[in-house]
Amino acid sequence: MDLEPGRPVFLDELVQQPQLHTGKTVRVTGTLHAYSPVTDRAELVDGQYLLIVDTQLLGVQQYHVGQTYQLIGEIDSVADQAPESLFDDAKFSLEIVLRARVGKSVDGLDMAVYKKSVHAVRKFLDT
Amino acid sequence: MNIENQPNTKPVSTWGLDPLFWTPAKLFVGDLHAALPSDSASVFFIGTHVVRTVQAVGIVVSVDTRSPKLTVYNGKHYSKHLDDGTGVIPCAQFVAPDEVAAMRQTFDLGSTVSVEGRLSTFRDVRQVVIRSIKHIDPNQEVLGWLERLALRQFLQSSIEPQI
Repeated sequence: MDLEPGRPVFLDELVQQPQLHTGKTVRVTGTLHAYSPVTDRAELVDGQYLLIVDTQLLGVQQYHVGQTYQLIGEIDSVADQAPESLFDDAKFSLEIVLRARVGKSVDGLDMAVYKKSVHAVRKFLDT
Repeated sequence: MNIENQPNTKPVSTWGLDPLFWTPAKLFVGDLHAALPSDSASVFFIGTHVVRTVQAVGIVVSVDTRSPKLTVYNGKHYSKHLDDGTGVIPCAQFVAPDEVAAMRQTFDLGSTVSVEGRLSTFRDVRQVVIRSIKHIDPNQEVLGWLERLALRQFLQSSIEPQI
């Protein structure tokens, strides 16, 4: 089975440069802002940045708005994917959606340490 | 930066002096795939160090249960794919048939786990044969990344010239 590894990326990177990540397998972490079981859509938020997630492949599981989730999946390019519940100063991209295939609640994850560690791993492995 | 893996040309009788020979080496999955195989099926070279057992941390992204073709062992082959962001590696485990359901529920898709076991190659695919597996906190996974970076620094700085 050839599975691509989910490279940790941040929501601001996806929103600011959507084309760079299209077609790639990524691991994203964020707070669940909204979820619709009817459309199998979730909205993940990290600071001001919002990402639309297609949760069709995740199966039946409980989603709690406000909890932190970590999702692995492929970034797909789409057209006209507008978030359903926006907040002030929300920044999002209409060009991409995450087709999540694996996801889990990671409540309790220290996001500051997580971000620093991801940067450290990238710096070390990519040089 | 990639670790330059080289065969350890020192006598096999001295391999036991390598600190990584006896302990599960904490490595990224990408480094496990890049490890150089030796003449022995269960020994690999990372840097110039000799490694047999490894410890990987990551998220379970695939679970597969199948019966082995051999009929001698009346059990099941249970395989999970582990993703730590640098690579995906299958982790194989043989369990008794009555333990399969429990294994499925305990380590389901999306679980963050730490896997310790023997590094091997099966049908040209690098894998870890699980000796122990346990759930870990997401913060422990992050700590695991930092430990692996530290070991990587050691491995890159301790590459000895081979005679």
